[in-house]
Amino acid sequence: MSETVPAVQRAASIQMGEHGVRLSTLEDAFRFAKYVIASGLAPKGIDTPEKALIAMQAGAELGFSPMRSLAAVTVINGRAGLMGDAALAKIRQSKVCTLGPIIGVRGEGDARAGFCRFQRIDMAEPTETSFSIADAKRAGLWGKQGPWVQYPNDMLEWRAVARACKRYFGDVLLGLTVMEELRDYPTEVRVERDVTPPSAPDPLLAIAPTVPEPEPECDPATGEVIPDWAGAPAEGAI
Amino acid sequence: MEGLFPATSRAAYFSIDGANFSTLKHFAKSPAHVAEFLLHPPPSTPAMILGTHIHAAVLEPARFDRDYVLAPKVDRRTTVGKAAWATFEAENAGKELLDRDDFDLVLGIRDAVWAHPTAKALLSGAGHCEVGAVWKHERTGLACKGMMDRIGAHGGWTWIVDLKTCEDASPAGFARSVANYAYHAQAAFYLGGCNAIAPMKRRFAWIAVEKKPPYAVAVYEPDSIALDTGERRCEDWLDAYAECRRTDVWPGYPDDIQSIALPKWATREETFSE
Repeated sequence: MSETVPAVQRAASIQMGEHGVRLSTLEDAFRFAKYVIASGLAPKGIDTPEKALIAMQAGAELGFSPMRSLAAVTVINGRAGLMGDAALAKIRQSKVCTLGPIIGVRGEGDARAGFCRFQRIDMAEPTETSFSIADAKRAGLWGKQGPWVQYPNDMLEWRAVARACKRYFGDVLLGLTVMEELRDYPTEVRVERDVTPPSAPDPLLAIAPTVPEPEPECDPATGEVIPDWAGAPAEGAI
Repeated sequence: MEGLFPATSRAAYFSIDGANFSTLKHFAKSPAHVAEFLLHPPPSTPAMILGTHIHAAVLEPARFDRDYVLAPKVDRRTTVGKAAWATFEAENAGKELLDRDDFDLVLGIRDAVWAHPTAKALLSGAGHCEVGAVWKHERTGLACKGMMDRIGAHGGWTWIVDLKTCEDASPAGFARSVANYAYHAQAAFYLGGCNAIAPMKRRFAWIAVEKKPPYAVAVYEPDSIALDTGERRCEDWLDAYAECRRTDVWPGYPDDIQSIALPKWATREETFSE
């Protein structure tokens, strides 16, 4: 005997507890995500209920409340990332370190680098990660419009933190990438390649003997063209 | 000892202390896999040996003609066959002997590559083949080395060229090979190495050739995202290598229970079956 299904189902109430909403089902979470977007209070980058839901879920896996999750987790290019300050807070809260993480910036010129120093309880001695101006230049970040121009020291620090998170705290952060690093990833938009050849000769080729391209040779008997590979660099010239 | 060493033999190359790509790529699994590779290098497989022959034929055809020979098909259980084989061996002492199947395969690939206009242009002209490179990785201080198939001039640029034999040289097929074998990281590693020796903009190309007739050939250049991604992987691996060498700790996979996600393709509904 089939159960009677009401013609109109009303959404069940979302429970409230001491710390605000208690989202016990996926439907609850999605409804809440809709309210967040409708309120206009969602952080930048979280512009759909789906993104808000993913941010809340990623935060929940780290033990964050829904609103804390929305402040701590961001979605960039379809990937969830954790704000650097939230990542540090989580690491400190986890008590997995006997030292630090201590972060800062030191050095001059291209060697100036952000650092993140710490010692995990399963490490014999402290270690640190760093991210230098030279690294930023190589990655095409130095001088890039946005925080790299406005707050270069902060960015060096956060990228050093991001390296530490990725290499040493995957267990604490469940593999979430730090937002400050995620934001630096190239987007799917293909960048036009600079196809202007360099004007100066390459010193690495200068040590090579120039092997001229041979004219195609023909076998006098058959008229067949002798294989092209005969024009390859001769032994000793390579 | 930094620079390019075009005349470096494979034996001399292997004797140089330095991080090479063949070692670093094992960090994709874990430092323990790297340690195992360093302590117990796997012996060359028949496929690897054949690959060496193909490289010789394509990149150094003159040496191939001099050092390789087609082994005759004789029945060495008979007196006549034994005598014929002995004569053949005496006449070709020191040469690499290839059986008919391998010989045809190697020559088929060589001729197909050299018949491809762009591949031919990349392999011709000024440049070096089978080039050893040694450099210092600035950030970690690690000595690094690489063996590039070719560095040469083409169209006003310097190209680092890598010959890859594969099952499928189509754009989609070769892109899978690039991702599976981290060829993009290898490209970034070599470009970074050359840049450390002599800073300059250079480009990288793969000559992809299929291992079965018609030995289809295509030439590909990694786009900027592939190179960026490859560079990040290399930098992470180099950091990990420096750390493992410093501490002499080469951990395997984590001890904890880890959450595991399905690969993207496996989450598509149509991939499920009853």
